[in-house]
Amino acid sequence: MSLWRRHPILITAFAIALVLTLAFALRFTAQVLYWSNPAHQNQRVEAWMTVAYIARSWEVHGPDLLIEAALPVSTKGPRTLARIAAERGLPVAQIIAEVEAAILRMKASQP
Amino acid sequence: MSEWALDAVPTYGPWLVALVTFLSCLAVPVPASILMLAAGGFSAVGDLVLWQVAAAALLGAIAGDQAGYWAARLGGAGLMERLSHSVTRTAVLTRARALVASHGVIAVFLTRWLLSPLGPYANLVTGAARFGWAPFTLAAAAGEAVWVGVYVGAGHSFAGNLSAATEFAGSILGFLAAGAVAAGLGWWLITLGRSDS
Repeated sequence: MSLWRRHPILITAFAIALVLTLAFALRFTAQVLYWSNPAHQNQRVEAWMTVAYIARSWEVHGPDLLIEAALPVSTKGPRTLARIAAERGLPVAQIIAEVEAAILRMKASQP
Repeated sequence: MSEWALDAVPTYGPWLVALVTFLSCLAVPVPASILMLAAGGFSAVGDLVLWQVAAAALLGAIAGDQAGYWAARLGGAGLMERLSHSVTRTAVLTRARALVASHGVIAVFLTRWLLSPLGPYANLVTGAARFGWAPFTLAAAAGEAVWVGVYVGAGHSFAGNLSAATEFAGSILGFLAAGAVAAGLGWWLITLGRSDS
């Protein structure tokens, strides 16, 4: 009790820091629970993503997604959808639509 | 800006990450954290290599800190005078100066990740004040390791979802910061308790 009487501000600051630490830990736990739900995991397909990245986000097999979306297999390292579109002279929106359609078909055929 | 930069990540990989962390340590407004998260994500799916991404981000940041420190140390009062012409910059410089004066290496360490907007200015202040190079470099490198570790790590473990990775990085940084403060205050209280009795 004497410590509390002598250093009330310090002990209050310590308690606040402890509560904040706990709050961040709880927030982290809540985020893990939220994001481990597959429905929340899927990230909308965008031009800057590679096929492997999209496959991870949507939990489909990467090489299969390439085939399903009729995309060329890259020999020069990873390429984003924007780059693939540029190489094929197509608008990137069309490539995105093809990939999204391919994902839906793959999801539908999954047991 | 960040859309264009994200698109370049799989192609230029570690080089781009190093450039961006370098520039962000010089107060250039580049999306360093989002690129580290994305590069961590690409490394998880095999488009990039994790250790290369982490090493590049760390080396870029360390080089950026050194550039700021040495520019101020060699450029001296003249450089600081010129930088102080902008009102907003004067405000951050003043905050950084007060922090470094009162906390030294701890301030250098914390302005890498917890108070990262102040980082570039802390570099200038320490350089201009001829703060020791070795303690500066050690504290700065340790702080950058936390910054890079949290962002590349969160991006890697939560590949495929950039918003999730962003939220995770925020929670981890908050947890580390609040935990460090709690541990520090706790230690102080224990010491006071012993000397009181």
